[in-house]
Amino acid sequence: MTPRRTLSERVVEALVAGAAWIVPPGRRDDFRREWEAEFAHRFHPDPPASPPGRAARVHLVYRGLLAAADALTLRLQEVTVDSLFQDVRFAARTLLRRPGFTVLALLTIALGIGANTAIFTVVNSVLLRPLPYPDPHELVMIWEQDRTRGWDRVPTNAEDFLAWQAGATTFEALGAGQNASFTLAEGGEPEQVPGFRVTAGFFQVFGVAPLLGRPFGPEANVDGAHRQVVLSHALWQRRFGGDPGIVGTAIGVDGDRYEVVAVMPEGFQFPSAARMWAPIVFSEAQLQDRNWHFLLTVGRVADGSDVEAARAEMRTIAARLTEDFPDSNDGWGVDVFPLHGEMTNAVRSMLLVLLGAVGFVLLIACANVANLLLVRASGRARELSVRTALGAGKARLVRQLLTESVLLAGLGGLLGLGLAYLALDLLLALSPIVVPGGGQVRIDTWVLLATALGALGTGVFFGLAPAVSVWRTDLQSTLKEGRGQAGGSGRRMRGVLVVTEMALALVLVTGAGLMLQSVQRLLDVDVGVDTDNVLVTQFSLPGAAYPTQAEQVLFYDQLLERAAAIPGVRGAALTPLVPPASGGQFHVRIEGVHDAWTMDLPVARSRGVSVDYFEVMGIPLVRGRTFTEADGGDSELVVVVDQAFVEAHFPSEDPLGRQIRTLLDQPRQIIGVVGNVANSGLGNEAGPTTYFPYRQQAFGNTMSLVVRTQADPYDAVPSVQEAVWGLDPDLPLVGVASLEDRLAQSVSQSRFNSTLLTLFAVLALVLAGVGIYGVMAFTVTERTAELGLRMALGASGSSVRSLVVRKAMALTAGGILVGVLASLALTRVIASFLYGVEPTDPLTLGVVAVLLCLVALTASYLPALRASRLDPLRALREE
Amino acid sequence: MSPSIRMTYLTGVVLEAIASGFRYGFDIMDATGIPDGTVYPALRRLEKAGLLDARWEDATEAASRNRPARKYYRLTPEGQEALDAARARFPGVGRTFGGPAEAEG
Repeated sequence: MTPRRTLSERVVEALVAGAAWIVPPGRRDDFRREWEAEFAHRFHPDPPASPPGRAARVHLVYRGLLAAADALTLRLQEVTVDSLFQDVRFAARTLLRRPGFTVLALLTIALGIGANTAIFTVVNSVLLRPLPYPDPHELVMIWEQDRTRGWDRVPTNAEDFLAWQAGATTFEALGAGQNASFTLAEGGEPEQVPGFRVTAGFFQVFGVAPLLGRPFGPEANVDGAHRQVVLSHALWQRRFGGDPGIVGTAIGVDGDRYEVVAVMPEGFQFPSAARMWAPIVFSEAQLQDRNWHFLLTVGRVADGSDVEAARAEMRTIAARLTEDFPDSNDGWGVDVFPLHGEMTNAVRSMLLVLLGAVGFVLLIACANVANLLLVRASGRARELSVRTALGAGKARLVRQLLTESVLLAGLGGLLGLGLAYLALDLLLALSPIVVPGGGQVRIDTWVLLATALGALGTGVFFGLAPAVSVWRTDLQSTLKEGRGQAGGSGRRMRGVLVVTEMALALVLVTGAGLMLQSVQRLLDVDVGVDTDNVLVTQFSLPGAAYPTQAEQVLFYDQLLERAAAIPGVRGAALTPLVPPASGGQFHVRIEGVHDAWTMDLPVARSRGVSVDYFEVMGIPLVRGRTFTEADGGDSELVVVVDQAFVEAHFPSEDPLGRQIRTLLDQPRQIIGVVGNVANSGLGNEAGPTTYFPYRQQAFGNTMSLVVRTQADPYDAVPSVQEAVWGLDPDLPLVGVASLEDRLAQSVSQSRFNSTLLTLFAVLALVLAGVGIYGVMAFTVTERTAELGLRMALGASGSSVRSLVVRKAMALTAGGILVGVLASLALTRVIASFLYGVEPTDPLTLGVVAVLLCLVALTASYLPALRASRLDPLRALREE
Repeated sequence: MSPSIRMTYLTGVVLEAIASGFRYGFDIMDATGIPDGTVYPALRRLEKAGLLDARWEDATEAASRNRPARKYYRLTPEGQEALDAARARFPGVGRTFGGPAEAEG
């Protein structure tokens, strides 16, 4: 009696039957009988107890799925090491027989994989590797948001931060800090060291144990107790020779004595540039002015909470602050972001674009090698058909072909890895890549794994085309035909591959073209100043040595006098910021227009400069006058505005004589209008700028000395140093460079990105050219007889040539069509990196298309030439 | 004896299960509690290494009970040695089924 069979039983039966297909034929029966008996025993227990319930049946179906794992084990047991070794040996012999082909294929793969490994190494180090702090996923940055202006990442003010710290429960710790530059006068030449003034919670947030000592606690964030400093590992090594007894000693910082309380371990870097940390002390003004946004806030989300919960809580607190302080906090919000993302925001999209670009290069490389293999497979059709006739199964032949391609890919991958090592060194030498948290860009296990997987995938991918082609070909009939050919399927596939390559290359070259144009347009931007022969030197007067504004002004005046007297110097000026550096924006109240301080007042950049600043920098005076020596601290407060300011606020009125208020709320009279200057980075809308004489309003203690020279500005460096050090031998000078170099430096990242992209584009173009050459060369060989016949019948050499070239151009046209469509869709991803050129710029697309045609013409010309020189008689005999 | 197979805790448990009397594939899965998908591959490897010996049940007897014959596994002498070694190396193995008291093979 056969019991009734349930659905699950039938499913299981089908699964076992399916899995049995994987099992080698010799053991298939055994396998089926064993599994079926096991299932039968479970579905119909003996003695007939209760039949399996629903859950048990589901479990049995799951076991049915697992039969495949068993089947695979049995199959793999058949693949002995011996047979695998045999395959590899045979593949190696085959590759060695055709050294030209092998070298070309290996190089192509190595370039593709090498470029990918190099870029992936950077992506892995910068974007994927977790921050080197305990529980890095708990670390966040907290920004305020100015909803009125649509700014989503604004530093916070001191009071809001203190309110957060007091009210938030979702955080284990909160810390805040402000970028600072410390003058270090210990352990060598005076030096300006970038650092961070922080609240005590800062170190708690990161949870990194110091190498030596203990970071300061909250008691240090009080005036008088603040003379403590924590050193980074790098600074400790470089300046203090890694002195193990440094903790507890006092060093000269900002003209004062600070006690070293701790040294952080290697790799602790936040913000990335900071090399030392000191306690922050909030000034009275900072504690009273909620409009003073200067603090960067970091936090560690408490165990049992998460970023979402923290964000929700912070929003509640912000809403409460808006209610309590509508004057300052209306229109302001707050947001919480994971720290790792915040540290990589600036580079993420470009890195992904580059990764995409090298991905394209790899695809092109794959298509190329697939093409080479296809060509070779059709050349080998005869060999393969003989082997079939001698009893080799198609599966065995496919396995052999795949072994060959995987071997090629493996060797190519190894070569590529070597290339990546070299390329990374070069890459890092060209542009230092900042890894968040201070790690290094290096090839690690993940990269090796990705490269190995990539190489394997590549091998299977480009090996598939010839394998499929062999699978489909009727090898028996091939044997009967005179010449072995892989037939139409191979030819079609080759065409598709070349069109794909051309299309991918077009997308890359277009992207690179757009980026190159952007960089050029950025460099062509009118900075608004005369950039020839200007030397820039920056310094910061330490507060302890120059505590009052009067002392600072005295130093500035004396320095200007000395600098102007240097032979070969035509003029000297001081400014807190040299274009294209941007600096902060401040609210502006225009008398007669705005009658109170409100949050929706317009903003402008502000600079306190020396009298001769406009003249020395070559900024044209449009109306009125610039500053004179008479505009001192005691005289009427004056301001010079730029044209952008006039356009924004006095479009049809005379600005001269009008009063405006900005910093310190003092009324200032507009005495002049000057030309616009790129005061906000090249290519950005600068927005209105106001200038004051530094004698009337100082802007911090950092100044840049600009001198205009008659000849090469770098010749003036020693005299400028002498001028500064003659006044104060302990004053470090930073960033001594010509204005031109500084401007070039400001676009160096764009230039670096576009150089890389161009490199990949050229690689793509060369590979695509090689691809089309290969296909055309093979087509000519394949059609030797036909071409010979044509010539025997009177076709001229030129008509045969044009036949070949026409065929190549037809493929190219296909590639261009697909490529243009793909470009129109894809170049949008680089839109944010472009300046002055549209992502769909028709001119660029046109030029690139023509370039591609030229490459295709060149690549197909040699095969065409060979075709036209065929000896008709020999060509015919070959058939 | 040096089995041509890497002795792991998992293979030890499979051997122990068989020694304890769980002789069929599905019974071993149920008894050991190790993931279902790994039991058969382990059996195949152990069999290939000569630690196990597989037999078919008597077909007539199975038929008399109205079901197909099942395949069962036994330890070979090498398998027994390997099990002893596994017990020494992974003390947990011996306790898995309350010791090899009712071993039959």
